[in-house]
Amino acid sequence: MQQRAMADKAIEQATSVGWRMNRRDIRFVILKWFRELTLIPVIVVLMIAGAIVNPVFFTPSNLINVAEGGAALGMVVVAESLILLTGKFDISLQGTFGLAPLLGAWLIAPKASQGLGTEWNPWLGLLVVLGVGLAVGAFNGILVVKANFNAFIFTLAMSILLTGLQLGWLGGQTVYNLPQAFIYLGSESWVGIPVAVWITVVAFAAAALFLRYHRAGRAMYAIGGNLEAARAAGIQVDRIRIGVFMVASVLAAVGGLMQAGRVTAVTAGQGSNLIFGVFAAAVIGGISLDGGRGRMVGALTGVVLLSLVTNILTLTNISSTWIDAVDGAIILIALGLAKLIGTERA
Amino acid sequence: MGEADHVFKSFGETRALVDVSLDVRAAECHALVGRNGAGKSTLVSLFTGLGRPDRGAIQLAGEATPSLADRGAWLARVACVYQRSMMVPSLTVAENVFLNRRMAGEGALINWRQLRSEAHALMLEWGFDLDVDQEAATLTVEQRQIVEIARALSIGARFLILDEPTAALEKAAVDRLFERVRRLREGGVGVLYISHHLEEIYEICDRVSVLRDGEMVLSGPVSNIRQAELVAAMVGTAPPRRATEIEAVETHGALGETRLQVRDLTVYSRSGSVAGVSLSVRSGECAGLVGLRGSGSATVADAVVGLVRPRSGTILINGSAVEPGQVHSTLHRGVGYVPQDRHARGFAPQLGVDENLTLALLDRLSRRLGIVSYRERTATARRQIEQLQIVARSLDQPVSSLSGGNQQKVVVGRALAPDPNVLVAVNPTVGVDVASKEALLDAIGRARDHGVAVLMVSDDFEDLRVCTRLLVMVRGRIAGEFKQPPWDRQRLIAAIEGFEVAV
Amino acid sequence: MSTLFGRRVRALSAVVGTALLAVGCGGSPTPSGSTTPKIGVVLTYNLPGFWGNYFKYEDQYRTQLGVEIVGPKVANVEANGNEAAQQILDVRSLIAQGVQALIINPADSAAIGPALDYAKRKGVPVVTVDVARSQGSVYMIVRADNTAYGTKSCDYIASHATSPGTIAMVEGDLTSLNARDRATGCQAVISQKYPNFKVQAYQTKDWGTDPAVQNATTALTAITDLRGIYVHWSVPEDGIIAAEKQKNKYSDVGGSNHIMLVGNDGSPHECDLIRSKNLDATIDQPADKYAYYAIFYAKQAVAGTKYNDGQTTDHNIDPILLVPRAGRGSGPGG
Repeated sequence: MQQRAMADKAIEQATSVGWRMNRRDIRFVILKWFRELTLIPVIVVLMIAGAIVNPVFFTPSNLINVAEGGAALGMVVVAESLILLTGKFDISLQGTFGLAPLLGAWLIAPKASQGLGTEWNPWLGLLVVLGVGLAVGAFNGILVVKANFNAFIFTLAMSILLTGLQLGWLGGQTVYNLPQAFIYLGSESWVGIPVAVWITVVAFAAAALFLRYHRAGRAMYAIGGNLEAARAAGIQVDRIRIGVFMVASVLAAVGGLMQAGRVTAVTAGQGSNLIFGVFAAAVIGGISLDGGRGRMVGALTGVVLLSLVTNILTLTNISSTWIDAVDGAIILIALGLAKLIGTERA
Repeated sequence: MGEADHVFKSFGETRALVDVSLDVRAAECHALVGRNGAGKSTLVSLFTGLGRPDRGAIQLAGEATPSLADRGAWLARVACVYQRSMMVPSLTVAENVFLNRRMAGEGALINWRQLRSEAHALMLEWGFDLDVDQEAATLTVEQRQIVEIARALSIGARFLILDEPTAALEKAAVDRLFERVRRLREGGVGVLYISHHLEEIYEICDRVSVLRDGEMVLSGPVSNIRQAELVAAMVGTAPPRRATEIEAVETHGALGETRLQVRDLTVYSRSGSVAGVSLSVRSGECAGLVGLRGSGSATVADAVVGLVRPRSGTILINGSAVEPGQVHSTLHRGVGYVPQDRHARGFAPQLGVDENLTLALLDRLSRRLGIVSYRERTATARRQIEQLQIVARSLDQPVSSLSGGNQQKVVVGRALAPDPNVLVAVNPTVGVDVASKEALLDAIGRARDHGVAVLMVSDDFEDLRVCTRLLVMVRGRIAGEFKQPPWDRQRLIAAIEGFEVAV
Repeated sequence: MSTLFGRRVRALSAVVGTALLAVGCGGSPTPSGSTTPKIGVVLTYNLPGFWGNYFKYEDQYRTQLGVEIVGPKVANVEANGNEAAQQILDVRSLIAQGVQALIINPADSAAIGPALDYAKRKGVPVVTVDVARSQGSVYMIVRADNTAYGTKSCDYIASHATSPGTIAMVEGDLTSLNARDRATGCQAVISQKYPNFKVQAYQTKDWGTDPAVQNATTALTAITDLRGIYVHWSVPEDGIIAAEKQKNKYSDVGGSNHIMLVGNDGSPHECDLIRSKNLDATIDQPADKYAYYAIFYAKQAVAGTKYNDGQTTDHNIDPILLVPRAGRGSGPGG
């Protein structure tokens, strides 16, 4: 009680110094933002390059293409970044990305389009998609966090399992003729901008705000930064980590829905090779692979960067056999730049 | 504030605490001393809610302790500032102070402005105009301590445990810490002060309790207990053979030329910095470096071998300077190294006994094109095995499957195999059974007699039997020298703990 | 083949020996009842629509022609690389299981070489389906003329376009000979017959569906005088149509400003699309004939029938362009 009184007096003193603090605040805030936004020049350079390569690049139509192309990837990047922040990995997100929509579509589509034939209500199908995401996330979370399996190996094995299920379930067939409700996410637009883009942007914003302002969000940073300190402070480490796994999987499932909607079909190969791009975007954007560091705005710039590169390469008419090599080289350069600037902390 | 009442605690067969009673009153600084392994950490874990006593009770502020799962309740009553940092490095100071805590009028969302202003206010309370927006990773050790103490108290804890708080602090910071502890006392906080530095206890504490081998052997006001009594209580009655002395060592060889010279060595290290240390070891000598953990003795050994790069100073082997920080070239000059932690640095666990023994010799065993001569390797290995009496099923038995004693013999054997001029041994008999200990020390003694200059770093007094000279290190400097064996235990311990030794 | 077993057989009991001999010879054209030729199947699933159909027919013809099918072993669809390596392993394991002939659809025309050599060493004849190999020798290749596919498709677009312009070609993975042939065919016919048309090609790695749709979307934005899109396989078609709708560039077949769309495979789904006027045309790759002749020739191989090098047999697996209200070749479905 005595202490409280002392504190109150000190607060009074402190607020009188408030002016000084506020000004310092602003400068500090800018400095903190500066780190992540230093990828912006790289993006600007890319945009200039794109405009030079093909005047079409700068048209709204093409830029919308770029955004849409990156939307599904973006969802998975949000998901993976959250997991990385708590100090764990999840490689199976690409499997969920493919399997969840497939199972949902299977239950909805007519038999002629490789569906099961039960032809459920599309909304039920959507629930199934989210449900599968939740279930896989819970499974991963419990086994990695509670049973202490090595996150990398375990989720890698899960990834192979899920992809295998995706292939074996329908014998490799594609599910067509999906009802409008199912493909809504990937095919519709609001105010001229694709729904998928809206949702991904909202996802990034929500995650960023959560991480910054919500207790559980800050706790995630603590868990990734110093696990013991977090525990000692009474943070419910296990609960939060499992929760993150579950949320991430659901986000990945939604991302898969987006891609399925765009292609108006769910193929047996959806999600293949996705995870490399996810990690590249996250790391370039400053999310540390050790955990506890990194911000959503950085990851977003990583996604934007990758999408731009893909688009520019398509527009350039580089001999198609060279696209991979160029793509890889650009990612390496981006990583190097990120390290130089100081955002990359892998 | 905190009370332990006839507490017992065992881990499996090991009895960590036997009938221990200790109480810390409000507005008191109560010191807890004891050698390593006496049971201090166990007691602390019981006080902080990381375990329950098997028998007896712990009380906090006169009330029963909360359930172990209710971390929040524990944190509100008792706080411990460990040697390890308990801050999240990537978060700001302000956040760390209020980690997982709600401030008045807050929901699940964080009000950053309020967080910063309250944290800043807290720091000001301690007279510390610390920028609460900086990342915790940038804090110095002293600053970190302050923040952790401030955090603990702001949660409401009135029982504060300080675990070796001065271990990594230099003199001025120590003084500041004492000032703060005094203020805490005046504010009504009860402090349990754990330290090896006995002189500090006399400066700042009111009462002291001594733990030895899990039992409380002495407890009372500091003003009533003399230094000698304190040390005696810590050490206990020694076995009759060596009542007060460490036995004289038998030397058979004459002292030769100086093989190892260290001049003005300064090293910055997390595990104990060294400032301006000079020493020399001659052929046929064994110089023992003794000191507490963090005193810098191990760091000197690391620097001599080349594992750490010194800030300044020179190291000479056989009269010529070595390039600092290069283990390979240092070992090449004829230095054998027995490292501190055999598991981390001592042997390659899956390789066989013969391979490990000859690891340092590989270039001598391979004449043509770098291919190792099998015959020579086997012969060399056999020789070492015989000399050290290593017990193994076969030459290629993986070292990881040997007993601790034999493992250590392999490590020592490897160091001695190339007939070095200088042997640097750090804690050579740690975790080793009695018989192996004898064999190891004999081997080192033999090496010494054959002309090897031995630098031994150890806090096990048995090891020091092989030494001809002792150098005591305190806080990075050489504080005293004991030239002629036998040495008086009491005086030795006193010197190690930082007391001035009347020669 | 009998000589391989010959010596050893005599060491065993007579009964076992004769049984082995009979199986080893594959029992000449007279089926001896208990010996059904064992044929292993190795596929890559790069064109799920087509191969799905293939399976159904393979099942049908299996019983009809009286063979036992082991497998199929399938390398992952849209997965990154290494299907070729996987297929080599699959070939080895099938041979170890004792198949007498192999039907293979190689993921990579060149990389399948080692597998073919291995099979030859083991005396197992190989029939490749749909894709020719560029290295290694095989017993028989059952494929269509993919160059003609390309030629017919682009010819159709150019001849039906309202005015000269650019044709966007969404290619499959160019490591596959099929994709390369189709691309060549298209480029050739345009440059020779329709000089005032241009072809803009986009490669799609691993026959990926989403990248293909993305390529088409880029084409829709970037090419101002887009007259038609030729896509090498059927799966992306729905996505391309959706993209056109999103960009407000869609109109039914026959509408003004219609951007033509021609695909490949001839799956039932495509027939539906053609009927509902979303798709202009597609190439009918008769999965049924593929299945039939693959098994037929595999069986011949087991029987020891010899064919001359380079001899082509015409089984009417010519490219048939499916167009609205046109007739279709023989075969079930559609």
